[in-house]
Amino acid sequence: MKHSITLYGFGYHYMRGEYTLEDVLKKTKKLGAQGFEIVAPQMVEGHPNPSEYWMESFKELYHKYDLEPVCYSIYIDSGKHKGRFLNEAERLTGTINEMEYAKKMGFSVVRSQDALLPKTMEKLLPYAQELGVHLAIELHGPYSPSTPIFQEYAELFEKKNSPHLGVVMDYSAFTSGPPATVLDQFPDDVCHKDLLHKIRKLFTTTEIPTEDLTKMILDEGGDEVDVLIAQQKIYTGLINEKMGTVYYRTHPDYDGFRRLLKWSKYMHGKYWHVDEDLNCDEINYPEFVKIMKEENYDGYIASEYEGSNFSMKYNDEDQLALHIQMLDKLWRK
Amino acid sequence: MTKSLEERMAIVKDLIFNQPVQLMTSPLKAGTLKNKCIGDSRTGYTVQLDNLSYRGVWVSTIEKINLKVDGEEVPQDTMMLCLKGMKFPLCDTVSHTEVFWGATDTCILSVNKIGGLSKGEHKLEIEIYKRGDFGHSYGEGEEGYENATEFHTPTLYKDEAVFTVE
Repeated sequence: MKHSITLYGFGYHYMRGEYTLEDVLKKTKKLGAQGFEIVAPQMVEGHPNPSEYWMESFKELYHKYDLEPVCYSIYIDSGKHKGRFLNEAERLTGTINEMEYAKKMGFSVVRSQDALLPKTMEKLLPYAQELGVHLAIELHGPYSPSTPIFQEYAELFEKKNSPHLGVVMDYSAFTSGPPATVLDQFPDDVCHKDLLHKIRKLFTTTEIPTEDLTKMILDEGGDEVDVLIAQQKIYTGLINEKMGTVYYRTHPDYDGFRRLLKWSKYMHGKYWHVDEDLNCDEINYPEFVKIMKEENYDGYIASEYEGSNFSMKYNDEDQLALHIQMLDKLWRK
Repeated sequence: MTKSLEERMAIVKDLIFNQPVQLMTSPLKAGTLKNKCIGDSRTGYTVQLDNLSYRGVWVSTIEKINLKVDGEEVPQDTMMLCLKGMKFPLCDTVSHTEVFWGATDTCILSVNKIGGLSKGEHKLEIEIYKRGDFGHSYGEGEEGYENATEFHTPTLYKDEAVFTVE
């Protein structure tokens, strides 16, 4: 298994000026990753037009830590113009510009977003071929492989059958429910925490209807405060029509994941918490790693910790180390 | 539990519904308020703004900035945003679609005011209305934009802090 770490995971400290770019590369190496990903508008100085000087300095820096630059993450910034999305000329020229810089800096994968649109991605294939990069669309929750736009992308990948087009699957698209740490924000003396943990576990691992889970809260000593927390923080991600996502819980799209692996060279191992026993409650990593092995996946998986969205109790570097250990353990099985 | 049901419900509702938008940094950068001095002239004051996302943002996504100093509203036509050696009147940020405020770029809010601020403490309150730079909606130009609800209502970022002018 080839490990990557997305430098985005250190973004909180980087944006606050507590870590430098060198600091985060050094930490990435120390945590055991062979490769790394950079979010261009976050850490590339001068983005979207970095200087030759900066790029050379950056290359020296990652060579110093013997790291492979794998994924260059770019965006389709549809919010840029008030009143309209980007037009195709803007999406094309912007993406080609970013792919050229990615190539100059040595990256092999360029991750863009679904708003690029399949018809535009198709027009970018000759540039990806010429530059020798793999242009990939990120599949991020609450989207899933069955979301209509991703079915269109999958059709494009089938039609072109090129190693230069593909997908970066983010495990947020395959979650079963919120992590255990979702309850950390509530003080112990305002709710029945043990009961809510039990309900969260049942929501994530069974198909018991939420009405029955709510009844269970009230039958087992909980009250309306616990019900409110469950409704707002535990029963999440059920239906989101706009995203085309219907239901996760015990039905993450294993088949869709397997199908798209053929077009994948890099993936975001998203997670919010890994415990000391190397378990990640909210994502069924054992099953997904099993599929990766069965399909002979030989790309990278990036450890992408976003646990601070739920709790600040855990050290991000400790969490990254646990995630890598968990993946290695599963891969060895 | 020692707290009443009503007390607990109030705490939980506050945690769920009333939390401000979380940023990695506070928009008003600590310790950066100072007067604009040109020789022996004082033409106003400046304060640095810190980044508004986990990444750099486009200046054109900033729709409005309201500033109060010691409780008094600062007139819109006295303020400029200064970034990368350029200066934009606040009333026109949305038209600067090719200016990228990089994650570590220094961004200064400059206010014209003869005499600047007096020495000592001043309380600043800021409201920044900003569209997202990207979202999950997609389309071609104006086509389908009416459904792109994430771009229709800008997010409000608020901050307040007390600064000392030397």
